[in-house]
Amino acid sequence: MKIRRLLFDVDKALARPSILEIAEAINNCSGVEAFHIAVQDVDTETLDLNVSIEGEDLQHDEIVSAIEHTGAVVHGLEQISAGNRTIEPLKRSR
Amino acid sequence: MKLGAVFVDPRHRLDVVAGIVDGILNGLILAAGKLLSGTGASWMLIIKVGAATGFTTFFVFFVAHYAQARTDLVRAERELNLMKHGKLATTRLGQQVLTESLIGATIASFCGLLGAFAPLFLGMVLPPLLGITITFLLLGGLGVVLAHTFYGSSWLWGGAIMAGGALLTYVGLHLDIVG
Repeated sequence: MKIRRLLFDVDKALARPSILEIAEAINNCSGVEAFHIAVQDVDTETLDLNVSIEGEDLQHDEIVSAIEHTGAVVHGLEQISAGNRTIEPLKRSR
Repeated sequence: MKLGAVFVDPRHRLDVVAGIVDGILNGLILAAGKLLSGTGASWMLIIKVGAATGFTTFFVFFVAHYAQARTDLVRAERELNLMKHGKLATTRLGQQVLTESLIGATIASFCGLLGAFAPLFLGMVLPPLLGITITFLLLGGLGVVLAHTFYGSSWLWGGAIMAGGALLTYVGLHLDIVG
C-alpha cells in the first residue's frame, strides 16, 4: 500500500524537543516530500501538535519512530490517504 | 558556538558564577591559614588547591545537573501520559541532557579552577592581606553582577557574598588545612 498522506496527533513537553528538531527528524525519513507542523493546543507543560506529511510512499513506522526518537510522543494517527493518487475527504450528506 | 561564547551564554550563567564563587571560597577556606600565617602561597599550593577545586566542582555540578535534567524528563513523561518510566531518557533527549550536564560541569569546573587561582595568586604576588582584600572585592563584584542579572539589590548581594567570603576565610584561618 502506497501511503501518500498522514496526519498525526503529536505531543511534546514545552521545553524540549523543539519543533525544529521534530521537523528535522521527519525530513530525514524516506519518502517524505513535504510536511507541515502546527501547534494545536498549549497546556501548562505540554504542546499538542498537528503533523501533516505528504509523499509518494511514506513509511509510517519509520516516521513514528523518528518522531518518538526526538522525545515527542505520537498519540495517534488521525488521517491517512493511500493509493495511486490522493483524494480529498468527502463530506457526509447526513 | 565559539568557546568564549559558551561562558557568556545566559544558559550557563549559573555554572560560570557559581563555579567562580565556589572556587574562590574553596581557595579561601583551604589556604587562608597558609596565606595569612605569613608563609604565603606557592605555585605547588595553587596547583593542588586548583586541582582539588576543579575535580570536586566538576563532580558536584555534573551530578546536580544530570539529576535535575532526569527529574525534568520524568515530569515530562508524566505530563505526556507515558506509561513506561525512563522512556524519554532512551530518546535523543537522554543524550542531550547528558551532554548538557557534561558541558555545564566542565564550565563550572574551569571557572572553579580560575576562582581558586585568584586568592592564592594574589596572596602570592601581593602582601597576603591585600591579596585577600582584593579577593573579597572580587566576590562583592560577582555579587553585584549577579544582582544586576535578576534586578536584585546590588548592595545586598555584593555584601552578602563578601561576608560569606570573610566568614570562610575566618574558618579557613582557624582550620589551617594546608598549613
